[in-house]
Amino acid sequence: MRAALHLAILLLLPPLLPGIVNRVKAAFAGRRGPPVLQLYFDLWKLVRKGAVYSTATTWIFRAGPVVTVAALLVAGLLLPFGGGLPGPAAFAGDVVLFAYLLGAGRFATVLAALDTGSSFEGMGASREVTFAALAEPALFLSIAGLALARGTLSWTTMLSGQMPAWHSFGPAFAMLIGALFLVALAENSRIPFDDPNTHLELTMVHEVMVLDHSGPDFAFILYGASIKLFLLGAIVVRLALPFAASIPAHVALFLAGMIVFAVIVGVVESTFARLRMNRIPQILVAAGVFAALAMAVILIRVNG
Amino acid sequence: MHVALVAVAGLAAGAALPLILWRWDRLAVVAGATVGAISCAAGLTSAIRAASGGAAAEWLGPWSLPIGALRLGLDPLSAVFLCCLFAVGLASSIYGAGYMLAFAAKRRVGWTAAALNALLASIALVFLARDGVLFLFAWEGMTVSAFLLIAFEHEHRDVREGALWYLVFSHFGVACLFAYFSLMGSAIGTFQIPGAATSFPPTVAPALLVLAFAGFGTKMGLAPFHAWLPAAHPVAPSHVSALLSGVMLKCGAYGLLRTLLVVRGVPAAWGWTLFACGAASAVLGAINILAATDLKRSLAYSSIENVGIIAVSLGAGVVGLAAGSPGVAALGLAGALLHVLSHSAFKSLLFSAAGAVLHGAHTRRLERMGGLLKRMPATAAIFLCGAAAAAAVPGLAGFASEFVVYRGLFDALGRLTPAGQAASAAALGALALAGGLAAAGLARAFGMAFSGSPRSEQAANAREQNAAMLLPMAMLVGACLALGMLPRIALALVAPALAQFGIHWSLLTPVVAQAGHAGQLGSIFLLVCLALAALRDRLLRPRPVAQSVTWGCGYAAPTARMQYSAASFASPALNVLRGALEVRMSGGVPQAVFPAAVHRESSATDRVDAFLYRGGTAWVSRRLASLRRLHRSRVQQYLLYMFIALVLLLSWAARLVRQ
Repeated sequence: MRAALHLAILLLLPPLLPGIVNRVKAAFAGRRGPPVLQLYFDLWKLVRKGAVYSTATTWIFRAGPVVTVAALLVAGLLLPFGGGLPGPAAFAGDVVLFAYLLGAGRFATVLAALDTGSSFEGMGASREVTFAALAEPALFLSIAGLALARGTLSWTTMLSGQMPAWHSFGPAFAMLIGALFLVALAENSRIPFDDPNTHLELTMVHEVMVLDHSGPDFAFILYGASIKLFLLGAIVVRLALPFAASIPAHVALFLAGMIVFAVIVGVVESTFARLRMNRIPQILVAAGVFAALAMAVILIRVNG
Repeated sequence: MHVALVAVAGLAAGAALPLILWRWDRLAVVAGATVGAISCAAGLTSAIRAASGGAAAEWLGPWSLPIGALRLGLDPLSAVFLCCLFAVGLASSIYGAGYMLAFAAKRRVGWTAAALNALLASIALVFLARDGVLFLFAWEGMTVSAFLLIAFEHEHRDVREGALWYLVFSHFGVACLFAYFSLMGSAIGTFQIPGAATSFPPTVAPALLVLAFAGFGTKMGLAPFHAWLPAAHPVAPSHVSALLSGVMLKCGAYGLLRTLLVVRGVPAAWGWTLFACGAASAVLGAINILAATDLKRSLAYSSIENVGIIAVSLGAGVVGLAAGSPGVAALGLAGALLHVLSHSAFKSLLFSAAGAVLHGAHTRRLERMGGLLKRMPATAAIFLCGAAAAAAVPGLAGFASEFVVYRGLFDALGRLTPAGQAASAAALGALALAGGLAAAGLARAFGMAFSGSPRSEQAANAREQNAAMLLPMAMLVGACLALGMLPRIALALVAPALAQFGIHWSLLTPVVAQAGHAGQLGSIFLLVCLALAALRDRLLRPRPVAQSVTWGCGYAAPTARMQYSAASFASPALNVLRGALEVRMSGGVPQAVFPAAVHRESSATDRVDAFLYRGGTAWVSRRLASLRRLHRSRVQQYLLYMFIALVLLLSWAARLVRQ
């Protein structure tokens, strides 16, 4: 029952987030914006379309989107969505598996991009792997900080009932939220790292890697991107909302938190400019420094 | 034990056989490979039994030298390493026959089968030797036979240079090991390698540990002793590269572990040194996977990265043992041994596949490859499996062992002293960065070699390789899958070896369950992939599917030269990490409004290598230039030297007599 509810949230709700982000951005620009459910319409449209493949591509290109979505779905089984909804496949050490599943998804996307032989896609892939590699230490240091503070290696126990933990590690957790929020923005290619709305191939990161995908493949890619945003958002939200309650209340709280997360992403996208490409590594290093500082604070608290 | 001895004897016979069949070159290769493969298969069964069984055996053979003894022993620790050796040896014997026969039209190849079997036999002896002198004999045999094989294509300058670097570094390592065994022998009165932890005098023990670190660290390719590895591994024939990276580097790890067994009370500082050098190697290696534009050189740097991971885990294990924290020790040593196994599998796979690419496309340069997937589909799938395993994609070998390594570091983070905790956190960050960069580098290697369109004529005319090369690679793919999805089996294989370090199985049961969980989810990941692929096919079946050119902003006549290059792909990451690299630009710069054609090339090398070794040797040889006056090829001068030497010797002898 719980697993079914978890799976339903994981499969059905992610495409909602980009809709909310876009509505917020539209509101800032004084427009009405597309419907909140726009991504669902887009996905429905795309799965009913045919596809065009470049003559340069092979099965690697066709496998890319499938593997990416599969990796993200399995990663979703490891995260808790609210106090009563532990990750259905949670186990001690799932934090490592989670990080590497994200990595596997990226590996597949990058290979699919390189398979086209397009220099634009090569460029996007090269940026993607660079930023991802630099975001990795921030992610792992954040995980390490949480693991040390909570004495566990599973997202489910790490991110539940942490009210008392907030009392002792409050400042550190605040910094971790900052670091993880930056990681979430970078991993999802959002402003200030990348602008999902640009239409100039030369300046894009994630979007340029998927230029040649069409039809159901592109639906998989859009769907996968929304799941990724949902998952990394879920970590930030679960860390920021340290309340314990019964299932319905908690799931409602979690979903409200996810909406707030999407609104914040929208606000960031509306108020920040996208950074110059060569400044991005600095922000990612800054995220790593946040996580390292949080780690230091936790170390001092734990030892006394 | 006896089967293992027979296997070693078989390999020795396999080393002699091709020399006997000298007149029939091709037959010599096939016969050598057959004997080698059969011996390795026999050895593998015995090694697996010994590793999982847990019993130790010894055997004393006849020996005619005044020092040392033919004392061989097979305990679980040796057996784990023998498993790597015989498995990779089996694959490379078969592969090597296919690989070398392609050269048979141009040159003699029979002796390479002899050298390969000699290499396998001497590595086996390194793992089996229980006597210092015998160990050094085996070690030298390994060094020399590997040198001969590396120098196979000696008409190329880079091959000669690589082989020479290898020889020089190996002898630095051997010098340390000579001192190590002499010191150990003089302290305990015999060259026998003790079977149990032995207390050494407080002056001897630290010296032993320093010598072991330098000697075995050099063999392992641990920074800062790694400079020979990216020079030698790429130029060797590919099955030899596979054996060097997959097994010979592990001799270093074996030596360190053996030292840990022999020397009582290894201090935590030794562990921390390994830990720090390992983290540095991992990051440095990972950066250079991206920087190198030679496919095999890139893979050689990946070996440095993985050796770094092994050293970090080993270091954590040593610290755990020294600090009396058995949980940390268990996970650290288990992670190191598992990564030894999985790195053997995926790196020998990658080097073999790179050899197939080299044979197919006749180049090692990524910038001249491309589009090979369509021409060599089986090789491409095999390389992809190896690259995904090396990038630690869940469900494959690399992830299973790195999972245990990470698990150990998280454990160290929770249990060590505050300084140790901070170091563990730093190592977690370093390994995460290295992992990200390695994944980027391997994705690049695959993408540039196999995807897109051919960047050169050779690549366009590439052909798939023969079954003798594909079959052993398929076996290694099986090993990668098995190690990745069933980590429980691999952990059961190394558990008796861990017991030798006083680590009880009960300390490992939690991680066995967790790694098993991760392996299961890896299989689920694979199933979800298949299900989604079926869904995609179902969606597309009733719809029109068209072919077109790759999107190029509307430009419909793209050429292969317009593809992204390997150097450009690496550039953003290397810009951030340029502190670790020395980037050289050569060639002209386009000038004037209508510039003439210019050729411009950039190359990036590892700064430690460039500065410490190439720069250092150049400096030393400049300083010592004045010594060249001593040998001016004048007979009179040499006669004078001989006379002086004679006088000195006579006066020394006279003094001895007077006493």
